[in-house]
Amino acid sequence: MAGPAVIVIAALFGVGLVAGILRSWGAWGDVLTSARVWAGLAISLWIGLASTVMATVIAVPAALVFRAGFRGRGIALFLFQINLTVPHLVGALGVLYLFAQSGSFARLAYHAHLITGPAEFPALVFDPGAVGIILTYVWKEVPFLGLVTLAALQGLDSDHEGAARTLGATRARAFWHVTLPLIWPALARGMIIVFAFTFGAYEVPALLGQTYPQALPVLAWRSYTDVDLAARPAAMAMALLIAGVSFALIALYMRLGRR
Amino acid sequence: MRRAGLLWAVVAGLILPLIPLALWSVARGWRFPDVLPPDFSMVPFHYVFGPVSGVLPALWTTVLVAGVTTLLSLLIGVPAGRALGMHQFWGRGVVEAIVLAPIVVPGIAVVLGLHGVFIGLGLTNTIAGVVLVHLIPVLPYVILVMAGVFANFDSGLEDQARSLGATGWQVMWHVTRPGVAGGVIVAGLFAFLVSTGQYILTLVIGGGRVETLPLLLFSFASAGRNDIAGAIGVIYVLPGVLILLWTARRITGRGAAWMVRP
Amino acid sequence: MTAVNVAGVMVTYPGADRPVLDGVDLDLADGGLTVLLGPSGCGKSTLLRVIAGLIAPDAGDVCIGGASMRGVLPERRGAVMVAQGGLLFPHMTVAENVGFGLRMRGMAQGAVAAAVDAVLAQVQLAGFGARRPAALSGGQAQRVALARALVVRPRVLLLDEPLSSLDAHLRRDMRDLIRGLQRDSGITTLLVTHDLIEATAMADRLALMLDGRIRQVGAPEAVYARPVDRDVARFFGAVTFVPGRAHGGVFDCALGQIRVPDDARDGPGALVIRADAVQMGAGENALTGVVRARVFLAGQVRLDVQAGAVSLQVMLSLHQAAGMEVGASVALHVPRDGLWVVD
Repeated sequence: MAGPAVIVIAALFGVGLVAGILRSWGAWGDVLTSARVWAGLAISLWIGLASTVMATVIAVPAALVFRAGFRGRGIALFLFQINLTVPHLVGALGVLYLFAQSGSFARLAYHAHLITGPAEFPALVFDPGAVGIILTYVWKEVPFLGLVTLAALQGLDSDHEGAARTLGATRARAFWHVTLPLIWPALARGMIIVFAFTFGAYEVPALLGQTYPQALPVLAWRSYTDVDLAARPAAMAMALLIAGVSFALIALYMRLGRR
Repeated sequence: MRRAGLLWAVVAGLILPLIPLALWSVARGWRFPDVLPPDFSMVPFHYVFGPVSGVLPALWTTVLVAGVTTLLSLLIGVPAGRALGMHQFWGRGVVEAIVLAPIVVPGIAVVLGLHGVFIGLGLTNTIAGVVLVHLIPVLPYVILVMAGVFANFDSGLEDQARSLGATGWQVMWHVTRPGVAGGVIVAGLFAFLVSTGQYILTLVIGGGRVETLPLLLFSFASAGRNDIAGAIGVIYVLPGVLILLWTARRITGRGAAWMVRP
Repeated sequence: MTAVNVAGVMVTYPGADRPVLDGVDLDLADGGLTVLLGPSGCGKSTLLRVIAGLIAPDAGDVCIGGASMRGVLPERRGAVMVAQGGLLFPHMTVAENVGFGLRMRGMAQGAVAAAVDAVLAQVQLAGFGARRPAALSGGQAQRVALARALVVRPRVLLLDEPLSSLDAHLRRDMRDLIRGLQRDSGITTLLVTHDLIEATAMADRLALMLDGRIRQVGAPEAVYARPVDRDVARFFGAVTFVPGRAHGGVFDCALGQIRVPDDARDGPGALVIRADAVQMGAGENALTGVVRARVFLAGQVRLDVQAGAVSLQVMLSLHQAAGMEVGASVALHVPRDGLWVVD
């Protein structure tokens, strides 16, 4: 019954990959010695890593509070989930309007007499640290990782945390030694998906990124559409570089599933 | 409770970026250093729904692509979800990896290679080509959601119906269908959202000829038209929020989070 | 001194219309084993969690060793819970599970290992330290859970249905093990169960809980023979209640003048006749009746006997029941020690 679906996915995906490999032939030497490519890979890895870690650090405590319950939990959970359906591009715009040098925070800083003009506000978008991009991803992925964690917490079939508490573990140590290891497989899978996405997505760094160095996906697409058609094999090679990192992540994901 | 207070702060932070977007969509002459727009107007929306902006045709294209993609995905994805959710079979690990791959591997990694092939097949710059390429992220999504739905469906009910004399089709219609219909609807709605959220796949295969809402939004945003981009953004966000409002109660339990990753 | 005193504890779960614990008072004697008996859903496990500090009561208080536990965190109470099924941490080995509490107390690794080995030997699981919980049988897992609790030398041990996940043939071994370890260690223990036999076999003192309240506390035999009301009597298996009036050790009812214990209450009430109190042949409180039904229950026989207007259940051994087929007339008697009067 899985046949047709598997054939469709494998065909589209496989053809794209194989065609990419064939057409990238000959460009690898240039790509792997290009400072632009290495800088792009570095910035993409930085974006993926920082976004994943920050989103996790916010999402897991949030999920713990949601599990414990409080007044207004239902409304809070709904608002918490809203971003799941909001496209990345819209979030990137929101971040732009908030954090740009003429954005809402800059305007508030002006009225608080912290700055006298837009240029004095620190560059948080189009910046070398990719702060704007990372903020967009954190904004988008906190709800996802929060729900993954919450589902894992609610899926724990019994009260191991309570057992740890009566044996003398503090709340923090019960979480660290007992709850976290139990939800780790689910959380790690969620983190892998988030990392893969934030590492390889195009539109957010395209909108909020600086001109050099560009994130790897942006670099690949710009090379592909270069007036010089000779840049196309290089673009393919960069795309495959992204695929390579992703496949390593899939292997990691499947290994987590087996345990 | 202090911890609940911190959580509300997080929630506020998550909502915050949507506020200037909504303000821009009704703002007029909003310049530095005004914290709030000095004047409100519906001009951005008039422009957006007017003939010049191209938003209405783009909206139509977006809905068409997403609708067809969703139907195709359900058609071949639901049986696959059933197989993964209910049965152990030889080669299951390989199937899982194939289904998982498009979720983890970014679109740009395969779409550049596909572009060349699609040119040869005459599929570039066409709706059909865009639908086909949208299947890459949407289909695995439907399969995974439906695998979760079927995993929660007790196959003993089907056996019971068979032993009471129902034929295969009768079982499917009277027992299986009511059991998973809610899940199929949710999967379809979110599959629709996944498709409407695609940017780079549409850009590469559609070649700018198939213009969907995100492409239009991107161009207005990079052109610095904050008011128009704000108005398009509001239109773009609304269906998802409505769907979430409608499905929020249905999405609970184990695996729920995977349902909502458009 | 680690007596435990529960006073006026009220708990209502959010969204529930009735309290799950409705003013519970219970005193656990220092060093004794008290069994909290009741049907499932009566609030027993909730009370354990209140004593352990995992649920804060809406009202009332728990004192351990004379000190109020209000606001005291679970890890500071010295009250260790052994949950149903053991709740071993699946990601740790048996030794890591057992040593968990000691590690939380900051004990050095070598000392932890020695203590773990000793206690594993005590529960007859020496050499099991390297195994994973998934590789244990139900009985082994339960013993590991017990070891994990005992090794921290708790002031109070709270056991939640420790035998319910075990096969019948393992229950007696486990029952004896728990009883033995409890006596040796002298730890004040509260054991929760819904099983009558388990409860009466293990308890120093028995507390019967119904609908969120403690109905009766006492020695098991006393609670069994002298129930305070119909609900308690019914829980202990009584099915026959004959309305009438008691006066000076005689109960006047449809069965005639029945002699009851002298300490039975006077006035209008119901005579409680348990199936195991009825005996065959002539004797005190003689009755005659007709067998209406006969059910073979693995070694015993239950007869439904119609005695005048009253329908009685009688439990007999297979040997005693020989020849007592449906329709036969039988002579019975009920010694007064087996009778009791309730409201």
